Amino acid sequence: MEQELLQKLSECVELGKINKASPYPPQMKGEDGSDEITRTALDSGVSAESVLAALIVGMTIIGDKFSAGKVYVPNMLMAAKAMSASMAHLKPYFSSGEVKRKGTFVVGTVMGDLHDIGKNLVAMTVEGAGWEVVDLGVDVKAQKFIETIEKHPDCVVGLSALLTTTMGNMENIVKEIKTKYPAKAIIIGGAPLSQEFSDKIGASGYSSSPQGAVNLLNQLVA
Amino acid sequence: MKSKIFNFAFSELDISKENVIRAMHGGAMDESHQFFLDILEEEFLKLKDYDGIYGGYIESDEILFDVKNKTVKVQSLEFNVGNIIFKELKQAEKIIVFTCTAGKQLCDQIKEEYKTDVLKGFLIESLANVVVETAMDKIQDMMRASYETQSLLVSNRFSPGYCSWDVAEQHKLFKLLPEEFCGVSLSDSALMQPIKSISGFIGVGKNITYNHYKCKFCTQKQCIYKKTYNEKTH
Repeated sequence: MEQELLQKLSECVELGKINKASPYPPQMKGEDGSDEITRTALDSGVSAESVLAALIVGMTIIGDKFSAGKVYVPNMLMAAKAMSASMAHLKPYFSSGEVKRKGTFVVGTVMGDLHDIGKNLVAMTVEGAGWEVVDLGVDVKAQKFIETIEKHPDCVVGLSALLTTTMGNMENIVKEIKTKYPAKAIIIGGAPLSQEFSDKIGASGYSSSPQGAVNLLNQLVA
Repeated sequence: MKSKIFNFAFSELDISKENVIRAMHGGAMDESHQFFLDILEEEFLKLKDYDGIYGGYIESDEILFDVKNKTVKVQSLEFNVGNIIFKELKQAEKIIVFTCTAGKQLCDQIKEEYKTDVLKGFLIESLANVVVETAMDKIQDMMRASYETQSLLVSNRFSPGYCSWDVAEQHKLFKLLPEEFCGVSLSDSALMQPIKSISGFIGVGKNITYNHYKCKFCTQKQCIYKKTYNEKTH
């Protein structure tokens, strides 16, 4: 029964089935969604850790499909909404410490750049993978990143840029962060970027996808 | 300097919901898209009386190309437009400096929606992208028709931030435009407000050619513009 519930929960997250009332996806119309199944699971004694693990399975599957170009941004957003519906039930377990976050991820699109959908997808996927996410938004200057690191000293930082011409800002931000926090782990992402660029600017790694970012983060804290 | 401002109502732009979905990912529609089309349907109804879309341009024939450095001077301001854009503009006799915006109201709506519903926020944002590009397409079509009467041709449009043209040069570009032209202003970090706005250069001349974006030569595999590249012909 537990396995069945958790499997169904993963499927709901993967396919973006938020709750019974939601008509999406069409093939699951009228069925319970991640909201109801999470409640049922917790009420029947399934551990919060197991529920979180099921959410991570669902987000990993959709994340891999997105990386492969098999699903698109709206599909990812629906998956994130389904995951959020579940996470609402898990909040008390995070607050009590029964379920531990893997770490804190501070993310923002760098100064001069306003593109954020990729960054938002990363933020949602990383949260679904069990991290606390502090999203600083777009057009974020170095000082803002540094102030946030001061509040979350153990965080990993994520920088996003879509314009080739804001890559220079990214390099400067890494430099400024590293001047104050030389050992700070910083990952980067965005269309014009690469592992080569990450190496060049002294970042800890680059990912071309939300799921890749999760894998990088998990490696950094392992 | 000659300048023109255009104001459009949403209904004039003939945007379809399907176009918005296609612009999002460039892929084929399937049954799951109906859900997203239904959300867009609601937003289209709300926008039926929306007329806050503005675009405009100034025309300058005070231009100078530096072939060695791949720069173009417009009204004595030098722009380092990069190789690709320089090649497209170097035959120009005039440079059009344009801006176009989906408008403050629509942009404020995007911001509000993202606070409570990330999917709806994304769909409206995608719609606003199509709005501003379609409005600028219309302006460019009217521009083209007008210059054709003088036997002049019009290039594609090029914006700072793309094709290696540094986004910081927006500051210089906006110096060429009247303040708050079409309701668009620039932040310190070269971002336009309202956020769904575009700006750039268009070349005009007897020997100008219109070329599509060279997406097929670009190495950025993840770029959404490369993925949704539309082979328009004129």
